[in-house]
Amino acid sequence: MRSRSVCRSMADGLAQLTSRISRPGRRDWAHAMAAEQRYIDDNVEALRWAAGCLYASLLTQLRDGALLNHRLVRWAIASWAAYQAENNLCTALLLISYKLHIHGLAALLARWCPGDDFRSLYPVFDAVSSWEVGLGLVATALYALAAVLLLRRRFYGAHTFIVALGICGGLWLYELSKPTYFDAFPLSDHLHDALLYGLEALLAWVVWTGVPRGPTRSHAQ
Amino acid sequence: MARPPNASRQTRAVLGTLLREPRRWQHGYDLSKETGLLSGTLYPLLVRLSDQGLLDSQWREPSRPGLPPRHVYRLNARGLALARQLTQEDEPNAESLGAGA
Repeated sequence: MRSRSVCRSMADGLAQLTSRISRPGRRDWAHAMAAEQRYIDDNVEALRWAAGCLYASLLTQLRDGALLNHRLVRWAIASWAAYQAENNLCTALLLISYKLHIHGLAALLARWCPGDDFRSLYPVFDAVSSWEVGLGLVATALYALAAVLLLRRRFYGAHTFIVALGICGGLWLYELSKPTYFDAFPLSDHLHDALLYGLEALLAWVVWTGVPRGPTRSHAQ
Repeated sequence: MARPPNASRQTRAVLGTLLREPRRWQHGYDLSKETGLLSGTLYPLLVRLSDQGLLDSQWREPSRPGLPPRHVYRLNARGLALARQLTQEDEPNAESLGAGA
């Protein structure tokens, strides 16, 4: 007996995956796509077809607003939100300890958040107002809340995530408008931040479209 | 301005293909070959058309032993009406392009 082609095996695996991840209401379509693949004689073509079907299934779920029903997606977004919460908290505490002249804690936090010698950033710290620190703390709390809510399948966590991103993005743009802040870091750092915010905005869009629509919006199981 | 639904080139291609033989049930792979659309583009379109109540689908017994049943599609009355309307809209455009050539 001839061994099955690797491409065909991969195509079958992708077709099974498409069926497995599809929602009950869309399972018929997933089976239809998987069945169609079996009628394609060319193995490479079958693999291409199956990969397209997996993409189609994910796209349909995105349009249906069902992506957040997947545990992996929720965990990925919650992990990112938790990382952002930690990052914002670290920055806010560093600023607070500096402004309260608790230099020991500031030095400790600067080691905790490596990458910059914080003493060179004193002019930047001086230019930061208390309300900005306050907003940073609010964003921290919202990111942490979003992470917890998403893990507990409370989909208004998605809205919390978007508000937190909005606050951080707004604060970043505001800081960027200050010459002290802009000149304190090389352009590559600003571009890196812009890229991260762009990616996070994309993630926010996925989160937004991923909220299940209809009466089960908040407590979909 | 928001694009009207079913106005994309891909949707028009699928509707046009299904309109050519309105009574014939067609498979997804055949539709893909005729329209040139890949499965990742074709199926979300078919799902949407079905959700909008424009497309009928059903399962057919396998044509060869050992293969699974196959899903087939054709436009219903509403789908045919829309496809004809879009085709009529396209024709003046094609004529004006031809006249300008």
